[in-house]
Amino acid sequence: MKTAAKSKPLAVLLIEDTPSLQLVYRSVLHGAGHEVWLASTAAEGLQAFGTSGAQVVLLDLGLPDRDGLDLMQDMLALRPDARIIVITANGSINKAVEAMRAGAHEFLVKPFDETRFLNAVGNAIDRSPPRRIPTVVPPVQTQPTGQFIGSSDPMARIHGKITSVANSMATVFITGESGTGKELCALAVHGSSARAKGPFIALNCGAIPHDLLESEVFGHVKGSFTGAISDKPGAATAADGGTLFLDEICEMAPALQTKLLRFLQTSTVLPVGATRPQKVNVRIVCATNRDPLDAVRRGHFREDLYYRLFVVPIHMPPLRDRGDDVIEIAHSALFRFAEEEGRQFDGLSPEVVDLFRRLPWPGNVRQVLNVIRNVVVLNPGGIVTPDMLPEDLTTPAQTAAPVFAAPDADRAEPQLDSLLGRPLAEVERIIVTATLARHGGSVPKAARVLDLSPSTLYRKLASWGKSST
Amino acid sequence: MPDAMDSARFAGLLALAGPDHALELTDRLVDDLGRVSHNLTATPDRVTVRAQSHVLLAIAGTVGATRLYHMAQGLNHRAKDPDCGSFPDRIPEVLHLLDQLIAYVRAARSQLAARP
Repeated sequence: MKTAAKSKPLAVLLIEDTPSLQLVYRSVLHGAGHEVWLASTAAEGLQAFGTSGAQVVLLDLGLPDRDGLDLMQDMLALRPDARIIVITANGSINKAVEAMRAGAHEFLVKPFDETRFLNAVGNAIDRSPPRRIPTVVPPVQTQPTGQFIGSSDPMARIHGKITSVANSMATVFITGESGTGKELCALAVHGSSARAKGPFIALNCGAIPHDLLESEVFGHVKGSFTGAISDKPGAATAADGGTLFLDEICEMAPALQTKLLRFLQTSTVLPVGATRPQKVNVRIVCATNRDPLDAVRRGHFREDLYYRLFVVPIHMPPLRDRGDDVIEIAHSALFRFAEEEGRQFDGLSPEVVDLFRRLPWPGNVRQVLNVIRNVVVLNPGGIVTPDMLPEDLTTPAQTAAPVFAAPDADRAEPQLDSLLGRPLAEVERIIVTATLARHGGSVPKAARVLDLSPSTLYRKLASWGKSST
Repeated sequence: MPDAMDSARFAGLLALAGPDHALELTDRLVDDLGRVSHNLTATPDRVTVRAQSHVLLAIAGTVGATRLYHMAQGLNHRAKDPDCGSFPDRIPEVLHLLDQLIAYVRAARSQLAARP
């Protein structure tokens, strides 16, 4: 049943079986000038979906004649570019998350206010121009970006997941050990999506002091605090039309978690010191090297924010579980670094290939890149042989322990006596390593204790990797 | 007025529906709420409670019946979790609040109908 016809380019189909709620939602949509088609059952909904040509669908998951998720799958099979906003009641959020994983554009939890409701619809409509329905299914992109190397089975599954989630607004939550390529994965998600031409803004939540993080994410207006000498757009605004990548999300301060949740619910940002919120259209991709659910259990991360973000999880496997990817990555890095350094290298010797396959690579891809950079810088060229590799690459201490090991109760921390008589640079390295170990390998936390910026600490670690490995 | 009723929110909904649909909205609300009340009255099983509390929390939250919304949410939570204990003891209070809300909506309907 078509109930209004105003001059909007896209029709909105509302499938809701509770008559009073249907009337409320319809009134809100009419008030905003949307053309609305109505259905009260799954059967009516599917029929109206075909008749109306609606590109945006509001779908209550609890329908009397059929599961809403099944209906959504049928609609997406008919028109893969339809934007389906699922509606569910509070307490059914797991089902909403399931819907997002299955291709829903967005979800709303009842009861919701008009602003949230219209923002969700507006965002779905604003994803314009509507993409035409492809007549031929495009081939699966197995290498979403040039930097994202690896053809092992685990990586093939990740490439597939990235491709399948590309057309959704679903939030992607990337987990994995340090050095596994979480940011490259985020870039691949962005690059494979309809937002690829929009900005990709990355923000390391652990690398920015807590008191500045709100301003970095949401921006500020001139005079809102000491040092705010001009208006500054935040990362969320800068990412409008594109993707906002929030790295080390579990390091975010609780107060800002609340604001991030509000941002996710309303799609609006309120810069520090501003009085009016601004609407933005951003897809969120976030990452952590921690277990996010464990952070929730410990009370470090809001549960409601976790469920908002943990929609499409992607776990980046450690390099040791990726078969021959280490060889592909090493070859690729060798030729790239050689070109950068103006050297001529011809590949890896069979002995090196064999060794690389056997090593556990606790520092993952980042460690491989450091080793190859070391080889390229310190050797003139030719085939890479074992004698060109850093000496301690094969020593048990370097190969068995993770680069940033978890705290170990048995691990002896440096005593003053053991430091006396050593070169200052060596003392620095011992102290930094012990501080990292004490903080579970968290660079941001160690950096705070050491009163360094995380980027400085990363640089130090990278330089030590070069000199020692 | 029902306990913890956000009357401004309810009035806002009627305004949103506009003069053409406000009466229809009150009628639909009375019907929907009455159906929930009926289904919750006759010693319902867990599946029924789950379904009815789902509808109720959505409607109560939408119209601004805050206390009823929270009660329905708790009932829904319990009905979903077999390990969460029994729920029938909560139903009488929910029904009481539900009756209050239905009466409130009916009163609003009467006022709307009396307008010239």
